[in-house]
Parts: sequence; C-alpha cells; structure tokens
Amino acid sequence: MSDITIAIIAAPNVGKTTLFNRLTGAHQTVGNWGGVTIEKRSGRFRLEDFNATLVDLPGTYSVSPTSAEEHVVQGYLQETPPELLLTVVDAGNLYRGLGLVLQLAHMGLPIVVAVNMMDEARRQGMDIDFTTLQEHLGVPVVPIVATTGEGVAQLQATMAQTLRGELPQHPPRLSLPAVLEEAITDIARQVGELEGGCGLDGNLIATRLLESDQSSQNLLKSHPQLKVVAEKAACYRQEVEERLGTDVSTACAQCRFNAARGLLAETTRQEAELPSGLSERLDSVLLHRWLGLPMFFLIMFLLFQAVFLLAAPLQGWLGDGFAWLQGHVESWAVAWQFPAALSDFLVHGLIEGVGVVMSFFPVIALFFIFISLIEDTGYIARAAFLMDRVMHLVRLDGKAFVSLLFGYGCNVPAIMGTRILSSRHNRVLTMLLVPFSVCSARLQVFLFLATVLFAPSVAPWVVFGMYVVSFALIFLVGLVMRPFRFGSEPEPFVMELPPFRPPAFGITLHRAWREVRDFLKQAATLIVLGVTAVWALTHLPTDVPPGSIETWAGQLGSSLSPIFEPLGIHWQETVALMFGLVAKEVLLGALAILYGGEAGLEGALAAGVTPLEGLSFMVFALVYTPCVATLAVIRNESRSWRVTLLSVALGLSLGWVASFMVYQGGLLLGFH
Amino acid sequence: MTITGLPAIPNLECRILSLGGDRALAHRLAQMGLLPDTAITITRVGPLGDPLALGVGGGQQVILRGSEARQVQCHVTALPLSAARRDQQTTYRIRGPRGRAAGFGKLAARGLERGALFELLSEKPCTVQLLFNDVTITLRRGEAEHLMVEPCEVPADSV
Repeated sequence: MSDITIAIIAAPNVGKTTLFNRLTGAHQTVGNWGGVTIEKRSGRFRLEDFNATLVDLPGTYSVSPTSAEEHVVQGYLQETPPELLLTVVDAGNLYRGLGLVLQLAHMGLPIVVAVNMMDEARRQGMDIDFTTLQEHLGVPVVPIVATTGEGVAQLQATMAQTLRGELPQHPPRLSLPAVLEEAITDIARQVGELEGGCGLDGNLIATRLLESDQSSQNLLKSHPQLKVVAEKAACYRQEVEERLGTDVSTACAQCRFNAARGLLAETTRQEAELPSGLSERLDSVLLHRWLGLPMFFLIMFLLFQAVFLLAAPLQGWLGDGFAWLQGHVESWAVAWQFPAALSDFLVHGLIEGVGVVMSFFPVIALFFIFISLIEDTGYIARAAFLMDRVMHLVRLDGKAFVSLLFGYGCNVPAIMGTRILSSRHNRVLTMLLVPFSVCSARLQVFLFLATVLFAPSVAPWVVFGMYVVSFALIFLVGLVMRPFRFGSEPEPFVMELPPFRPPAFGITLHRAWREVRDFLKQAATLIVLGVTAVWALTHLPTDVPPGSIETWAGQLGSSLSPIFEPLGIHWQETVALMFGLVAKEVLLGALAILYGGEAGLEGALAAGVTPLEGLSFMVFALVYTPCVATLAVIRNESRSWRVTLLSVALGLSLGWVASFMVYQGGLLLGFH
Repeated sequence: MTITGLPAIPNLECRILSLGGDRALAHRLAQMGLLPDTAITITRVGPLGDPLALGVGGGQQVILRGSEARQVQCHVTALPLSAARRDQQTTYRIRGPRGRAAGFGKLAARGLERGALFELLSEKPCTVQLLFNDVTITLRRGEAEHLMVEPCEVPADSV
C-alpha cells in the first residue's frame, strides 16, 4: 500500500469537477492555494493497491501562465510534481483539449487522458478512433461519461497500470520552427552541463525559460541555480521572437494546435455536415438581438417566482419546527429551574434568532440549486453574453450580472454564486456590490414601512424608489471602484459559449446540497455569535426591560445619536437597526417591541416617525450591512476578513451618506 | 479583403491573420487554439453590438468583447451582401443564399448564380445596387441580407 498524489487538470467546462466528485465521493477537503485565494480542493480514494490523493487543479487552458489560475497550476506542477496527471478533455472539442494534452505530455510526468462527454459526441455522430489516438499521442486515452460513470472503472484501472509503470509514455515530438528548436536544444545542453542538475527534463526547462519572462521567474524561484542559463535564454527569446515575428509561447501554441489538428484529422470522423441542432435553434431565440434580453428577464422572473413558491411551505415547516423546539426548551428550563436570563437567552435569543436566520435556508438552498442547474445548461454564459456590454462599464463581465440579479432574491446564494466568475477581482467586487440589492427580506421591511408611513397612492412609488436607489448605488459603487484591483490583474474577457446541455439533475442537486450544507457548517459559528451578540446588547443588564434605553443597546443607541440625529433616525430605530443585523425582518419585530404600546406598531410608528424620517430610515436599512448570514458567506467565499470588513465599512458609511442626503435634502426642500 | 478588428456583422466569415498587439489577449487566444490562419464565423452579436460570439468550428463558440475583437486582424472570406461596402471592395463573387433559399431563384433567373462576379455600385439604407453583365440590379436590403458574397480581389472587367 503506497501513498501517491494524482493531479486532475482540464480546461474549464469539460466536466472535471464531476469526474473529481465521482472518483473521490464525499472524502474531500477544501483549502486555499498558498499565497492566493483560489480554492484548493483535494480528495482521497483507493486506487487498487494505492492510497491516492486527488488534487483538483483550477481550470486552465494551458500551463503557460497568463491568469492567476494558470500561475497556480504551473507553480504546483513545478514545486510538488504529482505521481500522475489525469487530464480531462471534452470529446466534442478534442482540438482544444489535445492542445492542452500535448503541452502536459511534455512535462515528463506520467499522464492519463480521459475523453469525457462521449455520450454527447456519439449523439452528434462523432466517431473517434481511440486505438489510433492513443498510439499517436503515446499516452493512455480512456473514453468516459463522467455524469453516468461510464468508463470510469476502466479509467481507474488505466491509472493504476500507469502508476505501476506498465503502460508506455512516449509523447510525440512536436515539430518546431528551426530557430526555436535550435534555441531549445542549446539551452537544454547548458542545463545538462550544470553542476548537480535539477531533476527536471532539460527540454522542458528550456521551453519554460524561453517562453516568457514570467514563466522564467517562476522557475528561478524554485531552481535558483538556473540563473545563468535564464539570462542566456532571455537573449535567445529576443532573437527567436524577432525571427518568427511572434512571441515564443504563441509559436509553441501554434505548433501544438497544428499537431492537434493533424491528430484529429487522422482519428475522428464527423458524419457529414451537422444539421442545425437544438442548441442553435434555442440560441436563435435566447440570444436574439432584440428578444434575448426580454427572454432573459422573463426566465429570471419565472425562476424567482418558482423559488418563492416552493420555499414558502418549507419555511412554514421550519418555523413550526423552531416554535416546537422553543416551547420544549422553555418547559425544560422551567423544570430544571434555569436562571431566568439563561432561559430567556436560550429561548428568545438563541433559538429564535437562529430560527429566523434558518427560515431563509429553503430560499438559499433553492436559489443555489437553481443557479447550479442553469449554470449546467449553459444559460449563464448566454446571460453573460447579453449583459456584458452594460457590466463592462463597471469593469465586470456579464456573468457578474447574474450574481447581482440573484441578490434581489437573497444575498447569500448570490454571493455563493460568485465562484463561477472568472477572476478574483470580479468575484470580490461582485461580493461587495451584492449587499446593496433589495433582497426579499428588505422588501418586506420596505413594504410594511411604506404602507404605514405613506399615503396609499405614494407608498408603491416609495418601494419602487428603493429599487432605483439600489440600482443606482450598485452602479455608482461599481464606477467608484473602477480603479481598484482586488487580488488579480484584469484578464482579457474571452469566454466559451458551451452548447446547451440538459443538466444532470441528480448530480447537480447533490452538489448544490453539499455546497449549501458546507455553507451552513462554516457559517454556523458566525451566525450563532451574531445572534448572541444582538441578544446580549438588547437584553443586558437583566434588570431593565429588553430593548429599552437602559439596555446596552439603548445606551449605545443614545450615545450614537449624534451620528444618527442628522439622519432623522431616533435611538429606537438605531437599536432596531442593530437587531436587523440578525436578519432584516427582525427589524420589524424590534420596532414593535421598541415602539409597542396600546396603539400597536402601526399607530406608534405613524405618530412617532415623520415620512421623511421614515424614508431616511428605509434608505439606511437598504444600504447598511445586510445580515450575519451574508457576512458569513462573504467571509467563506472571499476567504478574507479584510474583504468582509470592507463590506461592513462600505455598507455603514454609504448608508450614512445616502440617508444624510435624503434627510437633509428633504428638509431643505421643505419636507418633514 | 483585410481588415483590422472583427466587425459586428452576423454571419461574416473570416480567417485570422494576426492576434494583435495586446500580449495578454494574444496569449489567451493562442492557448485556446484561436491562432493565425484559423477560420472563424461571427455567429452572434450582443444586443448593443458587443460582445461578439465567434464560431470556431465543430459547433464551438467563443465570446470576445468588442474592445478585444478590435485588436484582431483578419481576412474576410464571405459576408452577407447587405454588409458589403463599396469603399472597401468593389468586386464580389456570389456564394449563394444563407438559410432559406427563398428569393434566390429570382436572382438565379437573372444569371446571378453561384460563382458569378459582380460590381457593387452603391449601398443605400433600403436597397443595394449592383452591376452584373452591364445590367444594374437593385436588391432590397432584406434580400441582400440572405445573400452571401465573397470579396474578390480581381476587378470584374478583367474576367
């Protein structure tokens, strides 16, 4: 029994994650790649007589670094070479896949190629001659269907054989332009003459050093003894680039893809011309120049409706469950003679607070499942295509729009959804923008306050105004953030538009469920802490009425009044805003306690708060920190406290500024 | 016909000549297999004329932003007649109808068959005028949209 490491590597959209999950099952761990906040996922599984650790490398088109992901991949392969490389390629797009395989095959590591999505290729009438392909590539090739598991057993057997060295590895020699070939040979010779060597293939090192400055720097970090050769290589690079009229990495790519094209011509047969497929017909409507956007908004509208329709009964059951639990804990507390404060904390603080947060769980889970499903079909890429021009104004790409839009349902799944965005910068910026959306919880607060404080003819416009403020804020903050960079340099926006595929329901549901469960596990601490803190603030010391001005929250509220007075927000509302950190609809409950009396909340509010003050309060409630669940998910997804704190700071400061403008502006215009 | 920048013309077919000066972009395109000499089709254009979806063969499509598409230099091999411009090229060769063949019969009756060379006289908002066999033919824009033509470097009178 020996421990070995296998790295799985593939271009985006070829089913790498599906295969990874199929091989490792539930035995996965998630972490970060050293120095960067790109998720590192690894899993363990038994491969005949090996204890295999499978490392999921980020999706990449090549191992020449342009993006942060490619940097990670190159660094990993150089510093901790695995025992085996498992490459996944899409049978429907062998050309691009083989381009990557040919590059990997020259890294000197044992490699197995899995050709995925064979079912789709067969449906399209594609015929691949695997015997010839394997012969020409010189490495094992196995056809699979990761979604159904077809061919995976064969793949495992091949991997084990390769690990035992029973299968030959002799990748083809690529024919390079003479001037490049000479440069590589000469540099490889110099590397060979180096004292001690460095354990890597000479040709590989030569290619790395020649390719680009960045690539060369990367290599020098782990192999400083190559410094002299690297300087020679830089001179060669200049000469080669001048003679070829193109840079070395493009020239290498050209050679690889020429070879790939040759291989394809020899090994695949496509039955005649493809008739215009279903995917194309769908696209002619969904990507139509004028119809595309209305169709997109219609689909999103239906999706929102479906989520809330399905979530309502589930939320009811969860609420009943927590009420039942509350009742029981209360009676136990009496039976076991708990101190009053403790039982109050358990029942009305912890269980109620967690219950409120959890009542959103069905919405979060359903949204996330729906996002995963439409991501699988390929529609998100279409939405990105439709919205890209607009989003480009704030230096985001079209995909970010989908996340922002989901924020109007619930911020948590919207932020979880940012992981499909293409760069760290896009992910972080979108995470910072999502909390400014009018989520369903905030909408409830606005609907209630607008009805109470404004005339029936005005109220709908007030709620509509909240949406306008929200859109404007997202856009303005996006514009202000334009010069900032979060974690990565901007990358050229080149995205694949995958063909429409029916989603694999079982697999998607399973995956989405696991993600949501992981979120709960990781967010649980923060949610409990948040709920406890709010309870403590509003209920301590124990000898005063909860939420009154004598409590810590009340004192904090009144001591904060110099800050909130210019916004027309009274101390009671300040306390309610603190409650609102648990979840936005708790705001209403808190207001009810604070303003409660014979007249009820409606009467008390209408009497105590002017419309302008109410408007200012609503604007603040829109902009400031959404809720503990959102903060928890920002922390989980960004893997950075700095981003989380930045989000809080942005929300509070912008909320103050926006409310100040509304209230003082309103006063100046003669409203009150 | 060589142009710099992929145009926002659906159904235009071209061959990439160079990936342009932006190193990061050129590198990314090269790693995805979009290299000089690759034949591409502009399959779709975004609602605001940006981005472009490029067909790269085998039913595969890649999205490229307008600002990035402007860097790429290409050789136009075919385009809808409605998008042809006299100031870019005067002589074109008829490739045939695109999609529904309706209306092509009428043209074929006047001798405008596959492979026929003609001179583009003018392109107006609603009509396209062309000179074929010394006869001036006027096509409606709708008809011109469905007729694919190939820019032809040989002047018509030398044939």
